[in-house]
Amino acid sequence: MNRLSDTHKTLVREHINEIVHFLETGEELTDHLITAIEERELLGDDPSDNEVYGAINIVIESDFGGFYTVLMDEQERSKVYFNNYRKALWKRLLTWFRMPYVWFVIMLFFVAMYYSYTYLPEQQIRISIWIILGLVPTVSIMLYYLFTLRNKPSFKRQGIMSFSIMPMLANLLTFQLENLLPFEQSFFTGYTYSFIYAGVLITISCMVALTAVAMIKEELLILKYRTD
Amino acid sequence: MSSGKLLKGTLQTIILRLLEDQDKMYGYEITQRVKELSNGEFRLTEGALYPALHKLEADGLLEASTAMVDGRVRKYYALSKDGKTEVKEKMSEAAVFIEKLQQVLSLKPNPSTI
Repeated sequence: MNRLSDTHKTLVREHINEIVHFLETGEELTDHLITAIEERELLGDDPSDNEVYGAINIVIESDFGGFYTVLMDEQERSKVYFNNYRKALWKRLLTWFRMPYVWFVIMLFFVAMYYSYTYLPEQQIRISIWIILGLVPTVSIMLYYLFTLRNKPSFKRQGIMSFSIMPMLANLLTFQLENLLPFEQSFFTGYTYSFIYAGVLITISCMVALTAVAMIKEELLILKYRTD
Repeated sequence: MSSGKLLKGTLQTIILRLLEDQDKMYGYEITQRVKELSNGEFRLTEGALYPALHKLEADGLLEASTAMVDGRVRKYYALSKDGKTEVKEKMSEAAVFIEKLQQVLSLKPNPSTI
């Protein structure tokens, strides 16, 4: 079996990355091509770059029926992946309401209510807190994006990025709700509504923020493993 | 032997069965194993294999992991908990199908149903 040199392996990787869009497709296809080229002994000793490109085309044609099939599979896979990823995110958020995490959520809710009742009488301070809490997941996601900017986009990164808009939307909706609903005149009389409302908001924001941070941490660990 | 079209309907069963036997396998290894087991008669095309693997993974029947091999990332597939249950169902479905197909092709109905 003729082993490809590191230079030629890089050549294969770079050539494939120019064609496919996502990191996962690139990695799997690169491994397949290098294994196939080596095991089928398609190249002699010290091949030229053009011979390597030729071998890539031979394997792609014989195994996949051309790059078109690969790209179609990638497109199909990305649709399925995003749907599954969204479902996984919701599932993960819902785990906060299962034992034993639900105790943490209840405790957080009461602490948030007490905190906003005791220390946050001013509307402006409350709004600032909501903005900060709403921004935590978005900022972490943006930082993660900057960290991984040099890498090829992965299915997971696309999924995480699509998640970044959620807390911001939730925040917008929250402020709109406060403007739209006649809280001051409602049965949530006077100041009473404020700390319940703030408690709910802070709890939800923390749940979203912690979920986002946990998922990003997992993804960064995978990236670290890849570069080690 | 043109087996591609015949294999297509049983591709998921083949993948699940192979992974039941081996702890984990990667795409190229699966095609080679099928070729070896069929003495070179069956040839899985990667154009069909990878979409099937990705679908099984998305359906939660397979779990994927990566490892560094010779300086490149290799993706391994293994049966998930659901996959281990599914492989048994798929195997019995395939056995019934093969039996019925043999009856139809031999033009002999099952004596017990006459």
